[in-house]
Amino acid sequence: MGSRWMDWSPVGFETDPTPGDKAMVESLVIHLRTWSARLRHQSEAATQVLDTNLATSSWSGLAADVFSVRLRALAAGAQKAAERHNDGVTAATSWSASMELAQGTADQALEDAESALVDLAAAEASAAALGVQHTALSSALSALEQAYNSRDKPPPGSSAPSHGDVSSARQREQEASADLAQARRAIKDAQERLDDAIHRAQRAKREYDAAAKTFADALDAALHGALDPVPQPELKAFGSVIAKLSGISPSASVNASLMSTLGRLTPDELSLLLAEDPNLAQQFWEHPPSPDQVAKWWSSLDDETRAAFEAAAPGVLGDLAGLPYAVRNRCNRAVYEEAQSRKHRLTPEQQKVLTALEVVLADPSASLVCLNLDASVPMVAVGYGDLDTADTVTWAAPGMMSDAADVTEGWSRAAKKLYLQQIQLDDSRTHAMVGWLGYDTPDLASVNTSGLAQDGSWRFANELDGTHATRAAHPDVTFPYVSVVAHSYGTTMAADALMRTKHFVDSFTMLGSAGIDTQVVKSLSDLHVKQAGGVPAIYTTSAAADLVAPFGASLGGRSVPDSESLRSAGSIGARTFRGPLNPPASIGGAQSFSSDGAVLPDGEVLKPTKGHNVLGETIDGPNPLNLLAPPEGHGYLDEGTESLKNTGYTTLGLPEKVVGGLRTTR
Amino acid sequence: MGRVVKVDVEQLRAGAKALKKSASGSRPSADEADGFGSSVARAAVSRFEGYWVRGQSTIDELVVGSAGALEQAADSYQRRDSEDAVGMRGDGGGFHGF
Repeated sequence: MGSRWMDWSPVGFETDPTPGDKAMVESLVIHLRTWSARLRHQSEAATQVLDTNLATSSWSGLAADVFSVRLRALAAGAQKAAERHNDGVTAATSWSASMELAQGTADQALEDAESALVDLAAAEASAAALGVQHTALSSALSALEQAYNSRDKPPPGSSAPSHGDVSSARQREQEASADLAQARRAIKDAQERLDDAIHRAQRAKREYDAAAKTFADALDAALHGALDPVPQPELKAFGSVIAKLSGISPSASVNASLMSTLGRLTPDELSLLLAEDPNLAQQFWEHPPSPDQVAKWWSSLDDETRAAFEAAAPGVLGDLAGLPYAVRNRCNRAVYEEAQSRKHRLTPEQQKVLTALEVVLADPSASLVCLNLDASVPMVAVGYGDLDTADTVTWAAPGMMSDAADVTEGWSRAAKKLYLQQIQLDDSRTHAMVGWLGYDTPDLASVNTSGLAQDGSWRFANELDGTHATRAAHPDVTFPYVSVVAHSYGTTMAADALMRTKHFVDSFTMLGSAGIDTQVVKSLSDLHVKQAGGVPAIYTTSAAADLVAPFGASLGGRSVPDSESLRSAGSIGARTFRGPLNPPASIGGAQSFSSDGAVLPDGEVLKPTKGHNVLGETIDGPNPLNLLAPPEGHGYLDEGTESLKNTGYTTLGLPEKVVGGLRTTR
Repeated sequence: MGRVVKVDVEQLRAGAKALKKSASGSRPSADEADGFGSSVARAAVSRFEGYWVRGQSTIDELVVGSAGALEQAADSYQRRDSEDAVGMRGDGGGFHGF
């Protein structure tokens, strides 16, 4: 313990009340200071390497990005460690000073106590001797005084004491008494000095203990900020990852680089890479690799490796177009379960999506085609039916104010209604449906621009090509009938996407279109949509009561695919806003069908669509969204509407069965 | 969507060297003596050393590991450039894979 081996009993302690070796504490200070300097130097070296040797002009690309993330974390970790060691230096320096002070006080107290004890012993011995002497002198004086005052004749051979004898004896007795009193005062004085020394030693111990606690608390407060240990295999794997990423072609696009990343890394290395750079998963979302190459890569793996990749990177694989949808569902469910386990720490928007998915995924026919809670807004796609084997696959894209946080449940319900309608209309084939909420949808202000449509179209095109890629990778290829149905601003986005797909889809159906961006789509015949009956299989409907669609298209300067809607009240209203110099335009080349209700020959009544939304709803009292929300049961995709039935036909490649027939738009 | 990958292999090697240097030299060590004071103080020193010795080792290992990764990257780039040069001479067969 570093005790000074002395007898501390004079001040009431069995052992050293202030143990420790100041020199040792000072060596601790030097030790911690040396470590702090070494760590700071390591941090500065890492930063220097980042700023000079690895500046963008010297090294760029995925390998550089990943390496820089690690080196930046290392620099920050080393800096933090240096600061904590410096905290230790401060604490130990203070402790050294406090210890020295307390030891000095205790040592002085012990010295004083020892001195007091010596004096006390001497005073007590002196007092004892003087006490005996004083008693004897008192007795002698008493005897002399008795003889001096006696009238009896002294015994023969002796004489009576004289006055002088008595006076002399009295003086000796008084001197002895004074000496005794002085000896007693010396005892008292020594005892007081001893008590004071003990008191000072006790105080030194209290101050020492308080300083020791302050020192311990300060050191304990520095027990944070250390980087987690990295196992040796992981350190080696990181080097291997960087080397492999460095081998990627320098001219590769981000998308191709990410594909190369998948192709080059082992599952463990991919997992390590994602842990190292969490932003990488978002890069896969924003710059998805070619679905054809993803499918080819997946086909080249054995079952064990596939399972390892699923476990290593579910957040990437779940949203990777080109992978089998069953794989994506398993991965996205894993991500969903993990997110549910930390739901309370997520944003309100993310929590809303998870809450909605609890309802949606309770349906056994539902699957999770996409789940990205960390995108600019949470994004989701819910599938119905077996997307890997179905004879028909329909992708349904929503319009404005349809972010996943708000409409996951509603859009999935609408997609399910169309899916059930398809099953009812054609039970000779199997069907599958995707309610896709994979883009940042506009609000009432941004709906007037086409930027969000263009942004979303890249990802949507990638997903559409994914449907083709997953089937093409199968040994006995059977391509499904692939259709796209979109609503409102979703038609703007989907049309942009259909300019970007690699593979043609079989049909494209627009419900209440908010207009086509003719900056991107010069002609509907440019869309990557196959023909049916000698014309592009592009269909459109706009209910007479839907005032929002033509209004939005006209206000946004986009062209409506159904020229008849230009005569609607909504379009006329927009014309008022835009003025006579910017008249609403139309783009021809689609096949228009009715959604205003009909009576079939067998007497079945098909309801009209009475507003803009895909699902109607009952709203009590005045409804400020009256133009958007049709009454319950009268949305574009509500059961029993002419719109739902006709959309069922167009999305299944049965346009000849459309109720009321088709009219070519101009 | 594309980007150009730039590499200066010599800079990578210089960076690796600088990192290695920062982790070289003997590691300072604390004496095992018990002169740090009371049991409270000694226990605190023990906890601090126990926590940070691992943290110091982690930093050292990461620094050395990062230097190694940089060297591997430099080797990989040089190898790729050599292969590209061979390919340019017409006997590489072109780029296969993704």
